[in-house]
Amino acid sequence: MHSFGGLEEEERRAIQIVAKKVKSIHEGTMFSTKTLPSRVIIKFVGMPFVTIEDLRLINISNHRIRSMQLMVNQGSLLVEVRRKTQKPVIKKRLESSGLDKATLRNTVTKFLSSHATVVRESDKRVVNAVLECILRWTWKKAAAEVECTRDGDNYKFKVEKLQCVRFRQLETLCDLGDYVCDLSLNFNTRVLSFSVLRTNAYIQDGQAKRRKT
Amino acid sequence: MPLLSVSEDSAYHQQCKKRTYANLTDVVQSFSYGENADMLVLELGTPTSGDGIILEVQNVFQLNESMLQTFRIVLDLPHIDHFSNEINFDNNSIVFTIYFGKAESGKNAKCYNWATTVLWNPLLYFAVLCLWNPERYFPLAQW
Repeated sequence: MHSFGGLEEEERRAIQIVAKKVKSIHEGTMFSTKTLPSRVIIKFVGMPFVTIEDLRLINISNHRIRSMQLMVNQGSLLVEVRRKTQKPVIKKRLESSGLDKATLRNTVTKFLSSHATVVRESDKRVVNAVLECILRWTWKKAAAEVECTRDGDNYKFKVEKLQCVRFRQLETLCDLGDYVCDLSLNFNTRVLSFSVLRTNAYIQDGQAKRRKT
Repeated sequence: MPLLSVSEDSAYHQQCKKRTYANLTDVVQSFSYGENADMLVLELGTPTSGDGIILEVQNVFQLNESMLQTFRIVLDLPHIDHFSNEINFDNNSIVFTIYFGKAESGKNAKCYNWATTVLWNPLLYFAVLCLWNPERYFPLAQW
């Protein structure tokens, strides 16, 4: 087995594949690695922006990718690559974050009251779900500034002052439905933007349905 | 742009933010020497889960218990309800999430606050004089 710098051949190949994929998306990207006993952290800098489709492509490029984190504040993308095959372990019970449904609803309702002229009555449910998602990402962290504007029939969202966000968290937003689209993060302006399309699906349905992937 | 947060942006909380930021900046400056010469305090924002402030101390290359203890003492003030700190070894930074108490509790925290209003009232002194010598000071006594 060939090893170089404490890394096995397969691990090196995994890093190369991920780096190649990111470079194919943005050529001017540079990366550095940090090798830890259980994982390798690859840090990409110099990306002007990244879209959810780009992140999905990076995520499926190698089976060893454990998580991806967008460090909005530092303008970098962290990709965590698993080093060794881990034994299956029983997951710990997640501790309560202290975010109950009532707090969530009250905060979102208060926020929506300031956008009463922008959001239509029939679209309130979907905008509520979007805002709840953003509040869950930032709970107990720095609050994000959210701007919701109406663009014809659709809504455009801009989220500022995000510190960091995970790929999985972004996927929970996209999982709300196909009407959440054009999700991209601009590292230069540090703004996450996406559109919510107005469709009959969520207006006529009795209950919001999660997209099955 | 409006903040998506539970917190309320009141004048009291703005004052608390300024005070906390100034206090921590002063302490950080006193520790800015040697390896930590470039330490600086940055305001990251407001926490979503309550009224407070998130402060980050950047460029921390040498950390010792006395430094952390001093930071904790500075943040142990009556207007601060509780706080949590997170040391980020990757970025050489410490993040303090500070939550403020209610404005009412901050004003009436001391039990002698009521006495200041009573002691400054001239009627109190007049009543004492009336009790001491009612014939001279009590106006109805002359009638």
